[in-house]
Amino acid sequence: MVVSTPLAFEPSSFRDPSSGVVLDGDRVLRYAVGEAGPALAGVLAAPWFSALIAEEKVERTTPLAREDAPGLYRALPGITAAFEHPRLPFISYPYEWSFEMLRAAALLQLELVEASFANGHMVKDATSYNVQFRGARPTFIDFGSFEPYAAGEGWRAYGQFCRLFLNPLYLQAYGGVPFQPWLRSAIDGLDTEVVRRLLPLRAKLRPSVFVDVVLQSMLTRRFAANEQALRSARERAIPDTAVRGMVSRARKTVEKLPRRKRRSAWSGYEDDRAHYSPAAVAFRERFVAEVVDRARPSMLWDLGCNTGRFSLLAAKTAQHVVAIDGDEASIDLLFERAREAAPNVHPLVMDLLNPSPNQGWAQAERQGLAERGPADVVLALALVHHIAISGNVPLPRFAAWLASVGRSAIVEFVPKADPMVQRLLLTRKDVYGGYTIEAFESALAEHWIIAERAAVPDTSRVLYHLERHG
Amino acid sequence: MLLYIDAGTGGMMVQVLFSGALGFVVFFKLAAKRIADVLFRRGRTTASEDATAVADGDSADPASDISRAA
Repeated sequence: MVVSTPLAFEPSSFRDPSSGVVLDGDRVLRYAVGEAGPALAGVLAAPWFSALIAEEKVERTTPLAREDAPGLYRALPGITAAFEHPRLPFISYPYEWSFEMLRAAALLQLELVEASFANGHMVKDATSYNVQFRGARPTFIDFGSFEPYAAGEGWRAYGQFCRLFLNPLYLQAYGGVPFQPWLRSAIDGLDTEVVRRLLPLRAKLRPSVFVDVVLQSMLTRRFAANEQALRSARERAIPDTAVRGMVSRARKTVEKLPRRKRRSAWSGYEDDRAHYSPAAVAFRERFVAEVVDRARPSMLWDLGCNTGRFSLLAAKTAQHVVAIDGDEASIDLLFERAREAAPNVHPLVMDLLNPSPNQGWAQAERQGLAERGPADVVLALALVHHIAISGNVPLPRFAAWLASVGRSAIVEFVPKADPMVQRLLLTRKDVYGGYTIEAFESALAEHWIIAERAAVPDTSRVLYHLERHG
Repeated sequence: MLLYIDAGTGGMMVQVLFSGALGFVVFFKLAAKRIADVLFRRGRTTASEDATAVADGDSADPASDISRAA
């Protein structure tokens, strides 16, 4: 194998000085330096770790011999081991997950801590960015996080686990505040002191919240400036029983967290569907199924997917489906459905009027939505009126943006006469004179070829199959 | 061993607290103090008041700030 040089370091893999990831075309290569090399080779050879890989809890990892990666060894002085992982079809971030997705990720993280600790090892960090989703299944991607446990060291990543898993979950479960916008703006996670201030008193009196939020926050304020106490705490040997107790308590806490918001205005949208006749429902499904069947896409994005009716339909043919909606309750419902019925559907919470940007260190650590595309096929059913009327985005801009995220598209135009548009107009002045089907088709013409156009029966809606110019 | 992540002052102290019998005494003392503080001195606080305090720059974790600056 020849590794291309200069090496393309994975833009988010730089914080751990002992291990990192390099991308070589479609290949994902991991290097380890110094003592981490033999330690990771030992982890990989251990039966407990093989079991985690076999159960698909941790990404598959293959050792690379020096002669298999000469470029990597030549370019990285101090390298002591190299490994290869399969590439993930889509990268997502915790601020794009629903409550249940973050809970599933937290439980996986804790399961790995328990499994490694039971076998003389530890997961040295606890960031939710180390968990990814293959479709609807969480998987741990940072093999470099495993290390032999140094006796007495304790679960040092507990604070990070709180900031990046527990605090966002507490905020939503007990404060009723969706965590996504907070997590998106705080890439290191939610500060315990801030969460303490946001949670109501009733929540703070819960034993788990009291320890993880109130007590931790109090201890921070009490000891942050006390260097001697910090040194003494650092040198204090933490008994194994305390580590096991803390991890097991965290797991039980996460398992028992209540899910407060089960239904929203939109989570019942697909089930109600009073605005579609049975003929219209059948027609839309047939149109989408036929186009997707012909395209056989490797990657399909369903924009404004609601509870994923069409995502699940497309997932029968598409290899991978990313289903995006701004309504967190709808995405949570889809996550549960996908876990049972369509493991190749990756649900995502995102407001398409304000998609995830490039952010983090050098604005390259976490990618924006468009940078993770384009998808082979994009579905945008009953979306355009939300973008153009709720968001005041001119139709030409919508058509241009759509062309930046998809090579082909299935789009449904919802005209002003439609009851759903009329409902949007109830609370705003109608300044949308340019929102017409003629203007929409004219906007499409600059970026798209209309391959098919079909009126949806019993409605004034029109479906388009679009192919991008060039 | 120095970690590349910040364990956080509170995170470290919670572990120390739970790692010995003495820890429980300190824990209950702190808990009692906190409850008394909430009930008798501060009264019920709303989330918006607390959020205002955060916005006004009331400090979070000085140790974290130092480590990030470093």
